[in-house]
Amino acid sequence: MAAVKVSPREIAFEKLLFLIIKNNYPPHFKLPSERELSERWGLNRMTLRSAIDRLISENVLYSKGGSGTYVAEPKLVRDLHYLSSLTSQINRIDQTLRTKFLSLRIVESTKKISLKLKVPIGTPVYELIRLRIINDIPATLETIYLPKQLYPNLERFDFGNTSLYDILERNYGVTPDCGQESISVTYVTEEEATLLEINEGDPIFFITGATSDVDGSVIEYYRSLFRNDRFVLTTTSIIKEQTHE
Amino acid sequence: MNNDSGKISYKSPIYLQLREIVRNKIEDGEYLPGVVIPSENEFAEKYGINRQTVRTAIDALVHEGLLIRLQGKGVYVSGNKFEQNLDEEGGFSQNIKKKNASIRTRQISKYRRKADQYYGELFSIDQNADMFYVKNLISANSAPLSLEELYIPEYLLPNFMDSDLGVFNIREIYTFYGIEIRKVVQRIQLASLNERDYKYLGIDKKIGIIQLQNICYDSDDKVVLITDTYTRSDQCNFNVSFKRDKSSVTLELD
Repeated sequence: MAAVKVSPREIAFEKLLFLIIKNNYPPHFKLPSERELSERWGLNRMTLRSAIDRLISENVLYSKGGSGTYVAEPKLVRDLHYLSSLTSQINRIDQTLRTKFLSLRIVESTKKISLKLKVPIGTPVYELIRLRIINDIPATLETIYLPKQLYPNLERFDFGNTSLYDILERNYGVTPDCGQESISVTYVTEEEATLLEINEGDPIFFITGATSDVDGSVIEYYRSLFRNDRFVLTTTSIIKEQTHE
Repeated sequence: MNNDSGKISYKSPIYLQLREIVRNKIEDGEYLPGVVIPSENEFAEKYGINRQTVRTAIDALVHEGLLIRLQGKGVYVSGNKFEQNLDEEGGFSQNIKKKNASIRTRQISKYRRKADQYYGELFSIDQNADMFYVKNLISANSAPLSLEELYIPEYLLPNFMDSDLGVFNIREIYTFYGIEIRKVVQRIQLASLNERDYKYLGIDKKIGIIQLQNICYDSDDKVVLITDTYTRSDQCNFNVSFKRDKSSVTLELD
């Protein structure tokens, strides 16, 4: 069978990826110049440029105003199969997490919130909005709905400095245990763009989900924006040995 | 927050999100599928915001796939999106669910090539060894949904060029050859495509593309298959269930 020629752009893309992994380039390492790489690989400058652009759009590389192309910071990993608070996750990987409290108010549960929290429509629920900042760069904007009945006087806590799960566990005796979430993409409004320090209309992960306690009662429903240039969502599935008939 | 408790207890939200107001009305069934929603002028007047802000909010939901803009007619609520479950066997395209959805796979290209350095490294094979590359367009109810790329080392499936992915899925073909996929590591990111690929999917680059990469390992923990699926985010949501990570408990309490 005749070997089909792989497109030069794909060749350039793979060569760049290999260059980075093989040399184990650290974040912010400056790549050799485009001219040097295109000569080394015998590739057209435009072709190389377009592969670099793709890696920039995938946040593997970034460019700094004409001074060159650099290796981007690795993305934060969110393992979708495991519940763990961002606080504990961040502590584990030696990064700094700051939470900016934006608002807390009581709203009437809509049909959707009621469905998720398993409370009647119109039930008073807390709506907590906060911005999470990792290594001084905004990462997530979270809106969390909490049944008021479960958490009397939630207003007294400092959401800027304490993990929400810590507050819930220590003061209300609930233990987040399991849940389900849905991942989609939305496009940020002007206000969200300002808070998250990205551009209005940029796509972003929109993750909604509900978490249950060990006894099965729903303890929160969240709708969060996760900057896609800062997070990679992962799962690891172990597949059991198949039974042969 | 300071100690002036009581005064700041009931903080109002810092901004009005028309996008979320409209989303809630769709979710609550106030705006029904197939029905036109109020005009930009009506929204602007009702909420006292400018038309550009209204336009951005509506555009976001159009790009999300919750609304459809019909030129000269207005903006309508669309039906339910497809749902793909990421829990089952690492979320292969066969897991897409929607009532009455018929999923079709059309092959765009299929060829043998050298692994080269990058895939040689990933598959732990010589860079001069051959591998197969397949690119498929997956449609649901006759509308383009995703592009799928498969990377298969030649030594595992020497006769792969004769297999028909329209009849069997790649997992079944691996099983026929006695290769058990025992672990799948999945990575989900947003991707951008080249113009030709946007064309295959029937969209422009305003629509977010969800890239799902599956790295499949056999029982010896060797990479045996890599698949990349690029899905239109306006057509499909991804669902996953999670449980408490036992290892995080100790960290949280110390």
